[in-house]
Amino acid sequence: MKVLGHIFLVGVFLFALTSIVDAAEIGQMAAERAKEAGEIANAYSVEQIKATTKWVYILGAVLFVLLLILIGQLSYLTGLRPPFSGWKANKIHPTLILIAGISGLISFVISLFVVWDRMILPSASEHAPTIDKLMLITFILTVIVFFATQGMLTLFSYLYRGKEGRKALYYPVNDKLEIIWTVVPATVLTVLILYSLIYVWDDVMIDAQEKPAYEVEIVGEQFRWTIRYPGADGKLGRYNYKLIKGNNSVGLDFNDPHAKDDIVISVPELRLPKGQLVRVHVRSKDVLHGFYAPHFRAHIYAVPGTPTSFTFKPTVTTEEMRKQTGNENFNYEIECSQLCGGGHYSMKGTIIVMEPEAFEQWLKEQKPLYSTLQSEKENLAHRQQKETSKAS
Amino acid sequence: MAQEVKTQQQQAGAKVAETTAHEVHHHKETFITKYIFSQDHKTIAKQYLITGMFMGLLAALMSLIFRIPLAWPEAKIEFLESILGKWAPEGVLDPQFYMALVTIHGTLMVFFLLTAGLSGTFSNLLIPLQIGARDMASPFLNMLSYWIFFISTVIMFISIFIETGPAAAGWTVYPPLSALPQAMPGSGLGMTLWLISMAIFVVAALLAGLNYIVTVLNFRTKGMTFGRLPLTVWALFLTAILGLVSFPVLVSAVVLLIFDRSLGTSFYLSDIVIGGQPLPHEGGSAILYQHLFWFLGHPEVYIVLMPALGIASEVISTNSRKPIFGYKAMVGSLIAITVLSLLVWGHHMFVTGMSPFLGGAFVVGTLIIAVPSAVKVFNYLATLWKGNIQFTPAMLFAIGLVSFFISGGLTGLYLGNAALDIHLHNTYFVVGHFHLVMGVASVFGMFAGVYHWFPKMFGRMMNKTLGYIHFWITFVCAYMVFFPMYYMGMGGVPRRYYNFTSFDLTSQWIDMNQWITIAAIIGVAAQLIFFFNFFYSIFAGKKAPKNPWRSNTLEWTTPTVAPPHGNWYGEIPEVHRWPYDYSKPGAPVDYIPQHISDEDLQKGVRYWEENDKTDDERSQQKVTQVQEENRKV
Repeated sequence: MKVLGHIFLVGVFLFALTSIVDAAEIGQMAAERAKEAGEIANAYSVEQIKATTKWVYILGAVLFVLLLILIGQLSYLTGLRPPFSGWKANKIHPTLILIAGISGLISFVISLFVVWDRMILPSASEHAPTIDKLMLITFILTVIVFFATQGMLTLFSYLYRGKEGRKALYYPVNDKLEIIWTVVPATVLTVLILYSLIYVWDDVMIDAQEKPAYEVEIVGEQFRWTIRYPGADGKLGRYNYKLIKGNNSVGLDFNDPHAKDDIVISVPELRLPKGQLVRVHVRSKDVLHGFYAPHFRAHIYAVPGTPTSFTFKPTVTTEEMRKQTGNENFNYEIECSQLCGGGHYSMKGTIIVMEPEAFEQWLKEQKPLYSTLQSEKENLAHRQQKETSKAS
Repeated sequence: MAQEVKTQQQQAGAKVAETTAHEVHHHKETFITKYIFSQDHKTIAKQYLITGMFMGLLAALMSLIFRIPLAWPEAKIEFLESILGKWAPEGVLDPQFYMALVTIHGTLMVFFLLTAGLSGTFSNLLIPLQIGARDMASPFLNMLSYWIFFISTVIMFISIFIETGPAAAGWTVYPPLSALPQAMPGSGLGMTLWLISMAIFVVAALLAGLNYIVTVLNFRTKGMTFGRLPLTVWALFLTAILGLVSFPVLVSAVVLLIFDRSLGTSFYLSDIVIGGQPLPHEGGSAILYQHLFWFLGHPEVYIVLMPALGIASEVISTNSRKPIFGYKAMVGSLIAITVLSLLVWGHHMFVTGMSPFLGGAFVVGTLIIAVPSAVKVFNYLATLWKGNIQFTPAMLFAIGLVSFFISGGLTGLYLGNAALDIHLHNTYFVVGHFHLVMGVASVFGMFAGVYHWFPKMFGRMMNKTLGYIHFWITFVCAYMVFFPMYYMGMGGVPRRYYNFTSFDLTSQWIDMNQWITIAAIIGVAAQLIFFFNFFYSIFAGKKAPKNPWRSNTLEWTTPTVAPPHGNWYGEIPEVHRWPYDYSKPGAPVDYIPQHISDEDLQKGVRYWEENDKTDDERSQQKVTQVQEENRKV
C-alpha cells in the first residue's frame, strides 16, 4: 500500500509538471499568435504575457500538487482510504514543507527575473544612484539572511520530523550562540546605519537643502497639481492662502515685488532644466498630498500650513529617457502618495526634463500671472465701461 | 524580606481568588450570567475570540470587494450593486467607497481582530490558567472591558451603514482629510462614529490591560516565579504594559481631532482652502497628529505581534518536544522590543518634512529593533534543531508564523532606513511589509493559539484534517498575495489607489493585481473552512483528552479539560520547575509538567496515565468513585 502511495504521488507530480509545461507552451504560442495577428501592438506586453504565464504556471505547479494531496486528505472525511493513507501527519507535512520551501525559494528567484524590468526603475537624478546602491547592498544582505533562515526553517522541519522512538535533544541554552547572534546582526546593522545616514540620507536631505538651487513650487489640491516658476528675478514671491481666489489659484501676494513676475501653470507638467540643482517647494491648499517622483527618487509630503521641499538634480532629459527605455510615450510621472480623497488614484502630474536652453526659451514664452490677471482686470473694466456707456 | 512579603501577597491573592471562586461556584448561574454577562475569564476569552473572528471575516470580505477594481478596472459586477446600492452603480465600485472599505478593513483588522481578538482572547484565557489563578484580579472589570469593547464594535459596525459612507481617510485617519467634513463624504458622520468607537475601544483596552498586569503581578501560584513564567504569559504581560503606555496617547490624538472637527479648534489645521473658501484655522500642525498617532501606532504593531510570538514560543517548544532555546534571551528580546518600540514611531514620517536630523535618530532606533527580532528567529530555529517535531495544525501555523516573520521583518530594514524610505514610502512595498510581518504573522499566531487551546476552551478537539487544509491553502495564498507587493512597491506603485489605469507606472502591474486578487479570493475562501471547523467542533468535535499535546504548562492540570469558573476544584497546584522540561534526560516520558517536583518523579507519580482520558471517561470514573464511597458509608 505504501509503495503504491509513493508511485501515485510521483505520477501525480510528473503529470502536474508535464501539464504545466504544456500549458506554458500553449500560453506562449497564444501570445506569439496574437503578436502575429497584430492584436497586441506593443511587443513589450507580449513579453509581459510570456513572462507572466511562465511564472503563473510555475507557481501554479506548487498549488496543483498541494491541491491533489489535499483532495487525498479530504477523502479521509468521506471515509475513503486515499492511496497514501499510510502517510501520517509527521510524514506528509514535513514533505510538503520541503516542497513548499524549495519551490518557494526557486519561484522567488524566478519571479525576480520576471519582474526585474518593471521593478527596477531607471534613475534620472544625481542622487538616485546613491539610493540605488544602498538598496542593492540592503537587498544582497537581506536575501542572504532570507535564504539562510527560510532554508534552515524548511530543512529543520523536514530533518527533525517526529518519528517513533526519536528523542529530542535537551538543549535549553547556549550563551555563546546567543551572544553571537546578538552581536553579529547588531554590528552589521550599525555599519548599515552609519553608511546610509552619512553617505546617503545626509547628502540627500540635509546637504542638498543648503545648496543654492533653482526654485520652483508645486501646489497640491484635490485632485490636481499647480506649478509656479519664479520668473525673471529667480525668486518665488510671497503667498497667503487667504488670497486664493479665482485665477490667483496659489494665493500670490502681489505686494511682494518678487511675486509679480511669478509664472503659474495650471497644466500639471513640471518642466525642469537638465543638470541644474532644483529645489521643488511643495505645499498643499487643502488636505495632505504627497509629491512622489519615483524616477528621481524624490518624495516629500505636501502639508497645508507647513511648507516642505525636496532638492535634486535631474540628469536625463525626457527625450533621452525615451530613447534609453525604447518607449516613445515614456514620461516621468508625479504620483500623489498620500491619501487625499476619492480622486487620489488619478492625481497625476508629469515632469518634463529639458535641455537648459530649451527650458529658458520655454520659460520666456510664459506670461507672469500678475500680467495675466492685470489684463483680465483691464478687459473687465473695459467691458464694464462699454456697458455703462451703452446704458447711458 | 521582600520575598516574604511577596509570597504573603501571593497567598493573599490566591485566597481572594479562592473565595470568589467559591462564591461563584455556589451562586446559581443563569444563562445570562454564564454566557453573556459572564465574569469567567474563559467565557470572556471566547467572547473576544468570536467577536474578533467575525470582525476579521467582515474585513477580509471587504478586501475582496476592493480588490476587484484593482484587478479588473472595467469590470461590471452586478451583484455588487445589489449589496452596496449607490456605492456601486451598475456594478462598478465608487472610488469614495473604495477608500471607505480600505479604511474599515484596516481598522477592523488591526484593532478588532488583532488587538482585541488576539491579545484579548489569549490574555484572558491563558494568564489565569498558566499562572495558576482562579480568575483575573478583577473579574468584574474584565467583564466590563469586554462589554465596553463590544459597544465600540457595535458603533464601528453601525458606521459602515451611514448614508454618507463610513470613515474613508485610511485607518490612520490623517487630518485634514479626516477633520474636514467638506473634504469627502466619508469625513462626515461616518468619521465621527469612527472616532467615538476608537475612543471607547481604548477605554476597554486600558481596563483589560490593567487587569492583566495586576493578575500577573499578584496572582501567580506558589512557586511560579517570573523565571518560571511561560513565554506566552511574558509576552501577554509585556503587551499589556506596552498598551497601557501607548493607548492613552491615541485617545488624546482622537479627542483633539474631535475638537477640530466639531468645536472649531485648530490643533491640526492651518492654511486651508476648500471649495474655494479659505477656512479660519491657523497655526495648527497636521504633522502633530501623525506624531501622536504613531506614538501609539508603532507600539500597536508590537501589541499585535508579541502575543503571537509568545504563542509561537509555546507551541513550537511543545511540539518540537524540546525546551525553548534561550529562555532568558527570549524574555530579554521581548523586553527590548517593548522598550524600543516606544522610540521608533518617527520612521512612519521620514518624508513628511520632519527635520532630517530627527529622521536620522529614528533610523537608529528602528534598525536596532531588528536585533531582538533576529534573536527571536534564531532561537526558534535552534528550538526546532534536533527536535522530534509533531506536526499538529498549531505547529504548522507556528512554523508559518516564523516564515512570515522573516519574510516581512527583513523588509523592515528597507523601510526603516530613511534613505530608502524616500523611494518606498507609501508604496505597495509598505503594504506587503506590514501585511506579512504584522498581519499574516499575527493571524497565524492566532490560528496556532486557537488550534492549540481549543480543547481548553471547549473540551473538544478541532478536526485535524480540516486544520491541515486550512493551513496549506492559507499559507500558499498569503505568500502569493503579499509577496508580489514588494515588487510593485519597488516599481513605484503608491498604495491606496482605487485603480491602476491613470499612470504608466501603475498600469503595467494590472496583471500582477489579477494574480493577487485571485489568490486573495482562494485564501479568504479557505477561512470558511476554519469557521466551519471551529463551530462544528464546538458541538461535535472529538472529546479532548486531558492533555492532548502532552504539554507542561499549568492549564493542562485542571481536573477537567474545559474547567468551570474557578478552574481548579481543589487546591491550585504548586509549581516546581520551568515550563519547558521536554525530553529531559532521565525522565520517564518526554515531558515533565510544571507541578511535578523532583521528589514526585522519584516516587514515580502516575500523572501521565491520567492524561489521555477524555472528560467523559474521567467523570465516569468519578461517578464510580463516589458510588464506591457511598457504599462504604
